[in-house]
Amino acid sequence: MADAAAIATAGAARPGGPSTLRRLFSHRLFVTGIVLFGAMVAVAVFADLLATHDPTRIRARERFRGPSAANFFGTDNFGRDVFTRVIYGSRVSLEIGFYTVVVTAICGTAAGAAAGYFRRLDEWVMRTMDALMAFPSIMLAIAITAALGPSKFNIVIALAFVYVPRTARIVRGSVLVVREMDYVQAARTVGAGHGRILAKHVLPNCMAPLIVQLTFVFAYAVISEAVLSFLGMGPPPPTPTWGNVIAEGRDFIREAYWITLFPGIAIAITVLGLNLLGDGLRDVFDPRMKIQQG
Amino acid sequence: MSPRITRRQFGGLAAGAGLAAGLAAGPGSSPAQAQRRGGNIVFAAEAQPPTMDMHFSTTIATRNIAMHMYEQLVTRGENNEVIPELAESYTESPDGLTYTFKLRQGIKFHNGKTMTSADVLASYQRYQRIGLSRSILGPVASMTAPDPATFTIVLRQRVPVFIDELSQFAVPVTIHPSEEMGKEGNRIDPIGTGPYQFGEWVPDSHVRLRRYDGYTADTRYPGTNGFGGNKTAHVDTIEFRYVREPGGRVAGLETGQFHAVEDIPARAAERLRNNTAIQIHPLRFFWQQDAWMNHVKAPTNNLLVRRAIQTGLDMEEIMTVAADGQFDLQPGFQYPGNPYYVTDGQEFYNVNNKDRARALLREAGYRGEQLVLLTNSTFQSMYNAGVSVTEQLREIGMTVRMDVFDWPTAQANQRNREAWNLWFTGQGTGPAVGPFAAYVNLVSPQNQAFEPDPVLDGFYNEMRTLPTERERIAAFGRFQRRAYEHVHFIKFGDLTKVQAARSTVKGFRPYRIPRFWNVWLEG
Amino acid sequence: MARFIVVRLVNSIPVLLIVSLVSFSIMQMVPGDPASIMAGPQATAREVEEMRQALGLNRPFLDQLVIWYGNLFQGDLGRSILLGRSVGQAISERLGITLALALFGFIVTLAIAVPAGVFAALKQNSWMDQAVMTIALAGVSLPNFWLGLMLIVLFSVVLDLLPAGGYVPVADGLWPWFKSLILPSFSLAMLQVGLLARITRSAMLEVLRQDYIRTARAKGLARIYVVGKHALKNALVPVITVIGIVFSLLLSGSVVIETVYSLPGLGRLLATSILSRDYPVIQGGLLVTAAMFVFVNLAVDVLYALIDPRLRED
Repeated sequence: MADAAAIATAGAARPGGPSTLRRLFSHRLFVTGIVLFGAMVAVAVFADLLATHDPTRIRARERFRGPSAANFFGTDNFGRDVFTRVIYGSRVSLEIGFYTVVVTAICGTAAGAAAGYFRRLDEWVMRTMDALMAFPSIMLAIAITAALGPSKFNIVIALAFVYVPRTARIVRGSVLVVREMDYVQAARTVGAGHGRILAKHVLPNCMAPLIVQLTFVFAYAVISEAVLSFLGMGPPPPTPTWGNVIAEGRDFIREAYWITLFPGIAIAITVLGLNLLGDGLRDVFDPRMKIQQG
Repeated sequence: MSPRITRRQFGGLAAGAGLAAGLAAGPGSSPAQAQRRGGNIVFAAEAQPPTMDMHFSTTIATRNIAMHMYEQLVTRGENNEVIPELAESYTESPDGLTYTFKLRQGIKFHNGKTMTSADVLASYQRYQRIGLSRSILGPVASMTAPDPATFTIVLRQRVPVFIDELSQFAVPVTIHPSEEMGKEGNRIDPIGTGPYQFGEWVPDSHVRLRRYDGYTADTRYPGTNGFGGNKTAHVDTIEFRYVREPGGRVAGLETGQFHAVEDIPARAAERLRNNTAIQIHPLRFFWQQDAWMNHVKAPTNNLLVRRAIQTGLDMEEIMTVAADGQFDLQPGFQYPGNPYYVTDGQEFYNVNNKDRARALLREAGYRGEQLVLLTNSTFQSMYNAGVSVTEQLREIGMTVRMDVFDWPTAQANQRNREAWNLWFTGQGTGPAVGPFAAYVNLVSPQNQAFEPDPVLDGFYNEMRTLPTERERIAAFGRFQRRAYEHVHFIKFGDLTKVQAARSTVKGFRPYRIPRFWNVWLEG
Repeated sequence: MARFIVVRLVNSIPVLLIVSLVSFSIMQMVPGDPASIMAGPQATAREVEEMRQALGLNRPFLDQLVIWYGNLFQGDLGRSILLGRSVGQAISERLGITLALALFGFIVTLAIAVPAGVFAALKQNSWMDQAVMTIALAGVSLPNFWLGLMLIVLFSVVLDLLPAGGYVPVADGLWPWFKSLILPSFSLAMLQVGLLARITRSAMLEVLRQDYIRTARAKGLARIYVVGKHALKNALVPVITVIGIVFSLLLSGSVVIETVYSLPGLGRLLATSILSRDYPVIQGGLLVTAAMFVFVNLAVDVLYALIDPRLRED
């Protein structure tokens, strides 16, 4: 799944600045993405206001009710309100996506910059990254979650293992280009330290592809949480997440499709929003999509 | 409320009948009409077998399949009585210390070898060495095979229930060729003496058994008798297909893709009752749903906290979600109709009084210490029970954390006394499991609660050693009361397992485990 | 060329060694063991503990590692704890299903994605372009297991056209076999369709800007001919490079799709083995999948180098 992220920009445009912003907000797909994703974030923030029921309250006499005015998305096998669970599920799912992005950004940048800038480290770092990328991504996540135990935090760690190598590779690619640029060479000649050069010159110029990549990591993390939950490795219920609502509904798809349908739509909206957002960013930062390979 | 639901749905089985006794026509019934030979029966199972080695597993998935391939010296009949199977006869010496088994002659294993006492001895020795329930052979002083047709066991001390335990089929002492018995655990070839032999096993898909034409039927019986009796293999092959999703099993049964299935959801069962092509077989009291208590870790080291939990829970809600609405609520640790069925301690069962529970917590000086519920995502009923209990205990003001792991991790954590307060599990209480095997974990040396309870140990010992059954039953009553009073575990209810078969499957009589000998396909 | 291949092969050895070490170490950290799965829910913790010993699961980490690598270098992946067969056999039994699924998935992907991408490129920046690309993106955004479940509801529960799951061997008939793979292949393909359509589109756009295409058009050659003969051929070159990625996506996706549709393939073998702690199968399975991934990428690189000789100098 994450391999789609290997397609990334290698341009050196710097994000920020008024013209970039103006171009972003006139990009129709980007705006659609912002609206979709923003709506989901709003749902997560205002979950308490939007919810119509208690998300974990069991009503044994109201199991398997179809969608109605009383339960917009119906009820599940515990008689819990699916609408409320989807609303609250946005919190955990987005939280996992967000923290995965943070961890991936830090570790991926560190590994990629180290490999790209200090050539002696390159071989080792990138071989290890290659090895991690040789695992089918979801298998790696399952194995790590199984080892660490299924908690929100551990799922973030597991997903970071999957996405750090891909991110590191992109950062490394940008660093390789940037470090040969004249102004970096110039900085080096005037005796600037490695840390300073990295922080002041190299990394800011890697930001564009990194931000695009992290948008996609966020999207994949939301899907991966659902996949892990589906395979029985998700965050511990009864806290609702989109993934475990789908997983709990799976056995009842024939007779109570609504338990599975709605959280899936929520995931699709979020991920579509993020993908549009990422596409928009990429178009604006660097209109020419580059394919990274090998 | 819910026992009524159950009865309404399944048309009022006599409450005292017990499942095997209630559903079967008795040992005398034998298929009379013309049986058709040939065909392939497809049974859709909810779980896949973890092994074909019966000495090693308590799982129903393994038993469903393996009981067609393997046989025991003594087994259980239709009404749960002990009956000889591979044994021609057996005798108990007057002092109760020596058991002598005469073996049936001319029995052939699936590999063509004739069974002798050497095979029986080797099988018993392996069970004693590595069998999962080898504690039942704990009192054995020696086992010998004095001649090819005789096998003897000598005990160190008298165990009145010894033959009951030998004939149990939770982890049956199945008989295999002696050359297999030296092999490491789980490395044996699946060779037995049963009417069906191993065909192929495609993990995640199916196990196929083939008719064994060298089978010697046990002509002492007129027909099927529990796991024993006179068995004839009519169909060529039996396929046990793994179909995890309940809806998938139901759909396959309706289209005729499957001939028989297990674990039908309540709503589907209700619909299928109007389908004349399908017969529904509810097995009541199949499994007791419960949670064990840790007596060492706070806050459940405090008896009053345990009592509060026991008092506050609404068993109907728990069982509705755990057993998908198919269950009974009754206080006994055995099922009604079982000789050991007693109701001692019933005043502690399903009290469902949240106010009294809160009062007990106050009395206990409970101050929000965290209660850890340990359940698993592998067995749906245990997971569902955990979700319900978590909510209910929060309602009486407890701080609850529910840990959910897959089964292997959950069980690894179960060994750690600091890891949990309530452990969600269940016991088979149906025929042949009896009170002994089901509750052995409560007493020393297993000590599920991590703290020995000498009183309970004493009652358990009496249950197994008092000379008459009447006294043993009375001891079981004391045992049950003590388990309630000290809250060794919390019984939620008895789960009903629903099997179903198409009407074209002739001669099929439901039992704890489906049996496909003396069964044929119509048309 | 030969040197290029040799260098790449040598480079993949440390990768595979790290893969095997990582998978071995992770599995050693996973709590629980196959004994508890075998013993079932009614066995006591103590009984299971004793069973571990009977199964030889109590050996220290280093011993197990040495034994495993020792066997590995003799080409032996060990024996499954639960499945009653060697790991090699367990994997080879399953490989066919996964490869069939991946192949079908790939065909479906190509059949939808390439025309869609070409079409979008030809109609660049029109509403049709945006519509096609948004649909492609929506495909990437759907969790494929969820899509699989929804397709089951639609095509087997509501419409009753296709089986809801289960694998039918080819021996039971070509059509039933094919039918059993239709829904899984579609569910698997949806993720790649979006990806490949976008790549095709941008590659196509780039080619259409080239001089020779403009020349061909200027010469008045039929548009369909220009697109089919010249543009598409060249546009497919970058598409080849993503075959590696698509393959890895297919393998990854098969884990979930095989679970949804109850297909006994390699992905499901790995998923169930992790849940049942069948260590030798997991380690062997991960190594084999990783090796496949590495070698497919190598093959793609070789193919690419054949097409574009400039890369060989690199």
